[in-house]
Amino acid sequence: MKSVVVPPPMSMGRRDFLRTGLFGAMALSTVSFSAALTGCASAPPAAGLRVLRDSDLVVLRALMPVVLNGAMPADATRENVISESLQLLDNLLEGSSRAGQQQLHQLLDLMTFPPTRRLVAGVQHDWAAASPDDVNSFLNKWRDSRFSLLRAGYLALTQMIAMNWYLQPRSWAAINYVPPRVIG
Amino acid sequence: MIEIRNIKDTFAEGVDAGWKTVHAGELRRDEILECDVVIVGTGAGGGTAAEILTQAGLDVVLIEEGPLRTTRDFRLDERSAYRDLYQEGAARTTKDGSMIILQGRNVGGSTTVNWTSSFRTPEQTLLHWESVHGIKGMQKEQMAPWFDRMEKRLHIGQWTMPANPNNDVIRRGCEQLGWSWESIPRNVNGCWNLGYCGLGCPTNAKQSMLVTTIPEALKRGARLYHRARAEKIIHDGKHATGVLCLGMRQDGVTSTGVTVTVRARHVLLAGGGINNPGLLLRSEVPDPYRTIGKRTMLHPVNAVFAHFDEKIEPWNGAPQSLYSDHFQWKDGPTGSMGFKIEAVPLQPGLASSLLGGHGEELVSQVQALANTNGLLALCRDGFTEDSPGGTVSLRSDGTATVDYPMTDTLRDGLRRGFLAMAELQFAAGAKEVRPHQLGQPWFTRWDAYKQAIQAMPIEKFQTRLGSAHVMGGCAMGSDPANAVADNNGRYMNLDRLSIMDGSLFPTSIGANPQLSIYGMVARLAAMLAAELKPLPVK
Repeated sequence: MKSVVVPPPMSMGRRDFLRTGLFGAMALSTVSFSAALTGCASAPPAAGLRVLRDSDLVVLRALMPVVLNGAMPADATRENVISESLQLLDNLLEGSSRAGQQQLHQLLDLMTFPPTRRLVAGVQHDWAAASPDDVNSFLNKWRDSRFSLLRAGYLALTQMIAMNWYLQPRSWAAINYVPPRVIG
Repeated sequence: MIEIRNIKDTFAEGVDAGWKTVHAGELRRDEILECDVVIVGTGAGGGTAAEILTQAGLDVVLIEEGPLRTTRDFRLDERSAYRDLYQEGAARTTKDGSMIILQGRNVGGSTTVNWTSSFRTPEQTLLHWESVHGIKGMQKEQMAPWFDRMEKRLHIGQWTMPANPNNDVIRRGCEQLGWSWESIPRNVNGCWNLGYCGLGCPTNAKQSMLVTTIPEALKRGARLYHRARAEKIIHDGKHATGVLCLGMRQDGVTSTGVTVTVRARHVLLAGGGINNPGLLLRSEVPDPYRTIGKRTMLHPVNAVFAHFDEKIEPWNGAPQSLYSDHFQWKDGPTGSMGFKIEAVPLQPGLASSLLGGHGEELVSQVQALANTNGLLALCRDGFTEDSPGGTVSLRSDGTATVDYPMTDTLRDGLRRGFLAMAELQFAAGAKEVRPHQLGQPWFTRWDAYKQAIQAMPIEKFQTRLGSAHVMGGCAMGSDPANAVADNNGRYMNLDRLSIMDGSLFPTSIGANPQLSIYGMVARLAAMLAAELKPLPVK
């Protein structure tokens, strides 16, 4: 059982809170404190997956169509396409390091845990209820942030989602990409 | 559409014919084996050493953390290649996440996934190693016969086919500006000029360790354990006596708990930068001056992308065929940081991750991929005090990571790299260029670009950085207070332990490093073979 750690005092400036590192002790301790209450941090992967948890999927479902706006289908097939993409992403992540998987979990926990979601991501309500504009604003905020930690988070999320999409053959017709074929 | 068919998979045939290869992840019981030399790692260093040691009649066991993937597995598919063939599933970064690190993890190591560029160690680098790091026996004339030998062995020669459009930008721009440029020697034989070296060569043209030295070693009776991670060197504080390994599952992350203990007369580390220091640290070998893992060099890379009216198709054709060293030695070896300009192949998955952005910005850039050129500047780190290299440490789970500093010397090199690459691209007729930096737009004019680059901050998480050449961390040298290994590649503080790969380099090379590793290791392995000599058969 994780030991319960008191969150940093509210008088500490935002800047100092974030400077200790996105995956640093203070941020983690805040999340661990609440997660110990809600059981979120040690949650197992979602059904059928190896790395991504249910709470991760909520965030990624909101992010994917906005990051890939213009590339992902906008019609009824979109939900299926997102589900398949999440499966493929999970498979890709399974092959990365334990440390990489944990860092991603911590990043997504920061985005899920309501106080940090509001404070750090500027998203007031559940990700499932966030509009495309909300999500876009969040992405812009982190990309342009003066805190390297948030820029790092922006890069990690967008690169991962982009790469996972363009590794899929379904994305290639739109970019005129035809690789050689190996037969036999 | 190009079709590839009927390519022989000689490695798979060899395994069928009786080569001793073991999938350690599938073992059910612990194993203990004995040999003359246990080699950790099957990349440029491990393969070269294995061939030479088995040729001398020594009994060799090869340990490889990654999977065995052979010709028929190379289907030009980015997804499975990144997941299976690269360290940490191609997600390896520096400790703070600010730099992407591409290294191989498979039988053949980084040579299975590199882009075939083969350069002898520059003379300036060898001279610097002698004068500053006390390295003996490795001057140009002394190394020449070893480079000759390995160039023949690996079919290294000038690439005579025309450069693809992505690379031709270098020629056109340099000619316009009066900058020097050259073609790149490549370790290929019968190359189809496809451009997929980074995903494993599907035609056996690339002369990686997988299709050259490792088969030779296996033919001579070497034993190969793959999906076997070396956990610790077994030692008593005075000499190394073997290596303890763990079987790894398919995910490459979790172990099965089954162990393979290899007892040997000599332990040879060829796991590369980051992983060699990691193994040494886990093993708690004597390290009185705390040199293990220091001076890890990365050839830090920044990039500029350019749009041209004509088709570039940067995924198509030999990935690297031309280069410019115009800025490499301008200020001498120890002046301001030099860099090498090369092209970067851009298959869609990699390209989308590099081009960056989200929404319309991201999608429109990837949509324009067919007209996009990518250039890299590889910074020559490690030659001055303000370029000390990174430091390897262990994470809480025992795996290794490198922490690499941003310094003013590096900032200056990167800034000049941004300027040089774009000047070259505009001179070659680019319509617009974009530096690989968060938040920077496309520039249609050189003067506006130049102004922006001179004003912009060069900082981690703004300047996007990568490395495809991890070197050092087990620096060779004469001074035990600064070096990890001596002039013969012997670990300074423990007997019967050698290091033979790019982690020996006390500075970066200033050129793509594979041939430097082949030459250096061939020389060191020949010395070890002469010393060890096989024991008489019982």
